[in-house]
Amino acid sequence: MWIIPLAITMATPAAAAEPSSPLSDAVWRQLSERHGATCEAVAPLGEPAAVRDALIEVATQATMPPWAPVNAAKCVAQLAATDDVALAAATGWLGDAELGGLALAVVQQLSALPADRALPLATAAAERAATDARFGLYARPVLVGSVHPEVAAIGAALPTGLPGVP
Amino acid sequence: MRMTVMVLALAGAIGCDLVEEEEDGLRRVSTSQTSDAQGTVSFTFNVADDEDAFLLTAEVPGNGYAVVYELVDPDGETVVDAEKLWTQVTSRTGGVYPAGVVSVNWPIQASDGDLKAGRWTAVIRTTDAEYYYKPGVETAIDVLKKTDNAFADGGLDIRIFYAGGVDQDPAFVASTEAATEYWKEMYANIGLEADFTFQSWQNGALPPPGEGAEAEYEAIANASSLSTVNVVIVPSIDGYEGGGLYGIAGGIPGPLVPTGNSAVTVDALTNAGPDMVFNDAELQLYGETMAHEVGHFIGLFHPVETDYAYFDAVDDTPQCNNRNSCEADLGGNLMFPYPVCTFSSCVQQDDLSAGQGEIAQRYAGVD
Ligand SMILES: [Zn+2]
Repeated sequence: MWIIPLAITMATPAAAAEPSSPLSDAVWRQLSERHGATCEAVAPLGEPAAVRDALIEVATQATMPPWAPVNAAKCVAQLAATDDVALAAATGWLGDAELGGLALAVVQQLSALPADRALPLATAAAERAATDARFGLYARPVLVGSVHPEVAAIGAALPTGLPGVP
Repeated sequence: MRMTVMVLALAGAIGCDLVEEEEDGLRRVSTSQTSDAQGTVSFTFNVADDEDAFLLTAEVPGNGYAVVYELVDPDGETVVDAEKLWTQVTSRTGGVYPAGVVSVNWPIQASDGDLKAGRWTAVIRTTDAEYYYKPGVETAIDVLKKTDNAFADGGLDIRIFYAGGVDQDPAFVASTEAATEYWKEMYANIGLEADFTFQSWQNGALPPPGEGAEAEYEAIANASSLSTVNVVIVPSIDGYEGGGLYGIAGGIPGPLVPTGNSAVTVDALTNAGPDMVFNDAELQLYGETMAHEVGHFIGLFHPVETDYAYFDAVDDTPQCNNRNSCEADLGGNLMFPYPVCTFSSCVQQDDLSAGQGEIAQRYAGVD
């Protein structure tokens, strides 16, 4: 029997046992594959608002496989280009101390958003990075590489590396 | 790096001399030839009595492709026939499908018999990006031959490269090392002893192997020994931040000679889940993801693809034809194409069959 030689304590978001609808199930299954699960493949599964809600459900309720909620968050962040509900969800994850993975998924999509939608999310990411150094370690290079100069400037102002790690 | 010139000037089929060297326990034959008017490179190489398996790799530059079109044994029998394999629902080797770097390991499995000594002929076809045969393509070819017929047990050296700042993150480093302990146990079930080493890699943003960072992957492969399988842990796989890829192998099988495909790349952040911290269940899947991708690299296909219509060519991974039966029969297999989960838990996918072990043990990097 395998024993993980590592003591890890974590707060897990309260997970629902099963998807709430066939659409949520289909979205979650699509995003669970090891190879080739994409937001493009999810879009045709239903009406846009229903798919968005299913994606938010997968991002916040599913915990396994771990890439399913993370990828759902990426898809939601892409929808934030035009969808205010998606934008609000993405903004909320950036401010949630328990959801660093979803927050980074949002940061990774900022170049896919118009500048006026990306900028407030980048500002929220910078605020988080000020108190969450691990998040900052991974968020900074993504922000710096943004296609939006204002977002890149926000990233460049963040500290590099982790405190105390050479 | 130990390199001894053993045999010089084995005559190639079209007038080129092949040089055989010994490096890291493998006998290496290398040549570079230009494809003819039909987009064909044909060359011969010698297999000695004490050699038990070889890994053939062909590499073409730029946006071109190559396929291993035929492999002919010393008795004149075509043991790998791409045209035939393209029509089958079972997959034997990825080397017959067009890519910039293609590899075939032979023998693939026990039913192929022992490696025959004598003169082998490999026929490589070069194509353009639309898969039309293309003449005049400079094609680098390497054959790595191993002298190890203990196909019931073997060792595999795996080097983990932490790239893109992962080495600065003690949490991810500790989680990765913990996951390798589980990975070791999975491979031990097929008599494969995985031996891990760890190295930091300064550069970070990497696309999948073979998708635009050829020099970087070559440098990574050059940083480890020839028989080592390289696993690069990046925060996110470049170009796939929008989803779709958490780990990918540079081939089935993958090349050991340094090329743009000579690695497995794994995305740490998506494997770490919503809170960016590996819990026990995520660690299990992380270990399975790495072991699954390296499984591809050493020659294993999914026992069934997600269309439930294409299969591996392994006798003891049953064929099935729908989600329920495939998950019931094969859902615990490490090489199943997706984890079998509920919203909050996944079944352990750590099984490897004896037939899958036969393939892994014959990979040239396993000694
Ligand atoms: Zn796979």
